[in-house]
Amino acid sequence: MKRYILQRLGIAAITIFVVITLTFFLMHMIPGSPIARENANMTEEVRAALTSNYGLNKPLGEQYIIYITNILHGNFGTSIAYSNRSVTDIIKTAFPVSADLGLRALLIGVSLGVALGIVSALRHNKGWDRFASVIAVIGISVPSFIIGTLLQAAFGLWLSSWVKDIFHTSFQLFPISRWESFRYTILPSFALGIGSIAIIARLMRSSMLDVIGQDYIKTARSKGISNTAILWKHEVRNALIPVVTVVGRMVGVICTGSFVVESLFAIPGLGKYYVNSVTARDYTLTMGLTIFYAIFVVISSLAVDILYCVIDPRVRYTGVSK
Amino acid sequence: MIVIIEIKDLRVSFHTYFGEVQAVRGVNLKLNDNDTLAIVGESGCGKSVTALSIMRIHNMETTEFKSGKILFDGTDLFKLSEKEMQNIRGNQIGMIFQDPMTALNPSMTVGNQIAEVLLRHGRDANAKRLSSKDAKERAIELLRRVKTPSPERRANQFPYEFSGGMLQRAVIAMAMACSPKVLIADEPTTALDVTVQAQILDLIKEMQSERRVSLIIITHDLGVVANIAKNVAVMYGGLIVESGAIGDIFYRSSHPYTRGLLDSISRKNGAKNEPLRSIEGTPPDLVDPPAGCPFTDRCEYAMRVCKDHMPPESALSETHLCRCWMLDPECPLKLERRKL
Repeated sequence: MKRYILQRLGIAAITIFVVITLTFFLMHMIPGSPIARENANMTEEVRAALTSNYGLNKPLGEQYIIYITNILHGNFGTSIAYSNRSVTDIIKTAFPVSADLGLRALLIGVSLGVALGIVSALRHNKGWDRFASVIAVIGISVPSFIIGTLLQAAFGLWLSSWVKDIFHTSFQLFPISRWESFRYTILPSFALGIGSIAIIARLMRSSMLDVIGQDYIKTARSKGISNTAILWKHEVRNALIPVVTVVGRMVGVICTGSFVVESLFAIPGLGKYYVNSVTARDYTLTMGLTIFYAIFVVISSLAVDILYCVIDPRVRYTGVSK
Repeated sequence: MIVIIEIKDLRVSFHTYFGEVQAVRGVNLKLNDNDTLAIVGESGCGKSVTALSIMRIHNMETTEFKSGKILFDGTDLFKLSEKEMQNIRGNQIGMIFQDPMTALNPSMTVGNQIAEVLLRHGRDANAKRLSSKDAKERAIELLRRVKTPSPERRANQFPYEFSGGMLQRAVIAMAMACSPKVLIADEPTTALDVTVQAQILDLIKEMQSERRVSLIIITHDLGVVANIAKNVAVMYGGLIVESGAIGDIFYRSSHPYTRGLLDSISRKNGAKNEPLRSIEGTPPDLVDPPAGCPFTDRCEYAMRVCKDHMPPESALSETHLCRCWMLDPECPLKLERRKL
C-alpha cells in the first residue's frame, strides 16, 4: 500500500510539472499583458518601470526558470491585478469559501442523489422512478446559472414578498447574495448541487438495478435475510462502488469554486478570482490558481483510489504490488 | 416413508415483454424424508423454476403462481407470509446455486457470508441467538468440515481469492450451516471443472448422510443423476413427462424423451466411430405451448393424437409414472427397446 501511494505521488508530481509548464507558455501566448489594462494615461516610463518590476521584460525562457525556482521555494508571487496581495494570501482567503460551498453542494448531491437512485431502482418504472428521471433530466440539462436564478426568484423574491404580505416582516429566510450564516448557504449549495444530484441519481439507479439482478442477491434471499438487510448490506454497498469514482472526480471540480454560482450569489470564492485573473492577464495569479487546482484534483483522485480499496476488496489485489 | 415436500399441481408463469411464459404447467412431485430426488431436463424446461418455487425467491414482480400448493412438512408454503418464509429459508431449506463465482457477494468475506446465515437463524445450546464471535467460529468450523484448507485464514478472504471448487464448498457450508431438513442444489456442478465435479458431488453426499437432509438436485447431467439420485423426475416443456425410481428411469424408461436423453450419453463400449446421438429440434415455445404433448414435434413416434391431446399420466408401477400416448392400451405403437 505504501509503495502504491508513493508511486502515485511520483506520478502526481510529474503531472503537476507538466501542467505548470503548459499553462505558463500558453498563458504568455495570449496577446496583451497585465500592464496594458492599467490606466490609459499611464506614461511610458511608468509602464516600463512596472514591466521590469514584474520581470516581464526578460526573455520568456528566463521568466520560466525564475518562476519555477520561486515555486520550488514555495513563493507563488504577488498578484499583478490586485496590488499588494500575494497569490497565497488570495487562495487562503477564497479557497475555504469555495470548499465550504463545494462540500455543501456535494453533500446535497450525494445524499439526495444516492437516495433518489435507490428509490427509483426499487420502484423501477413506477411513479417514483419517473419522478426521479424528470429531476435528473432537469438537473443535467439546465445550466446552473438558470437554476440559480430560478432559485433566487422563487425563494429569494417571491417567497419573501409573500412572507412580507402575510407576516409584515422583511426577514429573508433564504438571502440571495453574500456568504454569511447558514441561511445564506442554502440556495447557492442547491444551485451548485442539483447537477450532481442528477448525475449520481442516474448512476446509482443503474448500478442498483445491476446489483439487484446478480446471483448473490438470490443467495442472500435463500439464506432468509430480511429485505432491509439485503438492501443495505448486499445491494447498496455494492452499488456504491461506481458512484464513489464519480463523486471523487466531482470533489476536485466542485470544491475549487464555480465561477457561475459564485458570481450569481456574490460569494467571495476562488472561481471569481480565477476567471478574472485570466481576463486581466494576471499571470502570477492564474499560474498559482492553476497549480493549486491541479494539486487539489490529483490529491482528491488519489484519496478516491484509496477509498476505493476500502470498499471494493478486489481492487486491493491489483492495487498493491507485492 | 415420510413425505417432506409435496408439490401439487404447480403452475408458474412469468410475465415478459413477449407475453406470459408458462414455465411450469402443472407439476406434481414428492420428496421423501432423507431421500434424493433429481429433476432432469434441458434448459428452459422449468426444472429450476419448480425448485425455486419451493424457496419462493423469484423476481416477484414478474412471477405469478397460477395454481397449486407446496407442502413442506405439512405446511402450505404459499400460505406463509414473506416474513414466515424468511424464517424457513436458510434455516429449514438450504440452497446451492449453479455458479459459485457469482453466488457470493464480492465485497464481503466468505466467513462473514457464512456467519450471516448463522446470525440470522442459529441458536446456541441455550436456544439464544449467536454472538457474532460464536457465529464466526462456527463459520470457520463449517469451512473446515467442507474440507477447506486453513479455514481460519480462508474465512477472512474475499470470494475472488477462492477457486471455483473452493467457493462451491463454501456455498455448501453456507447452505448446510443451520442443518436444514431439505437441501436444493440447482446444477451444483455445472459451472465447475470436470475434475472438481466428482469431489463436490461426494461432499454433497457426505453432508447429506451426516445431517440426514433430503436433497433435490437439479441437473441436465445423467451422470450426476446416476451417481447421487434415488428418484428421478424428467421434465420437458414445463411438465414432468416421466418420473420414477432411478432403476425405472435408467432401465425401464418408457417416454421417448427420456430414451432420447439416455441415448445421447457417450458410451465407452460403443462401436468405433459411431456418432453421438442427439434429439433433433428445439423445445416448444412456452408463451404459446402446444395443447398436446410438448414433445410431439421432436418425437419419432409422434401420432395424430399427440398434437392436440395431452397424454394422461399412466402408472407403470407404484413408483413409475409416464405421460405418453404409447402407453395407452389401444395404441399399436410400442417404444423400441434399445440396449443401454
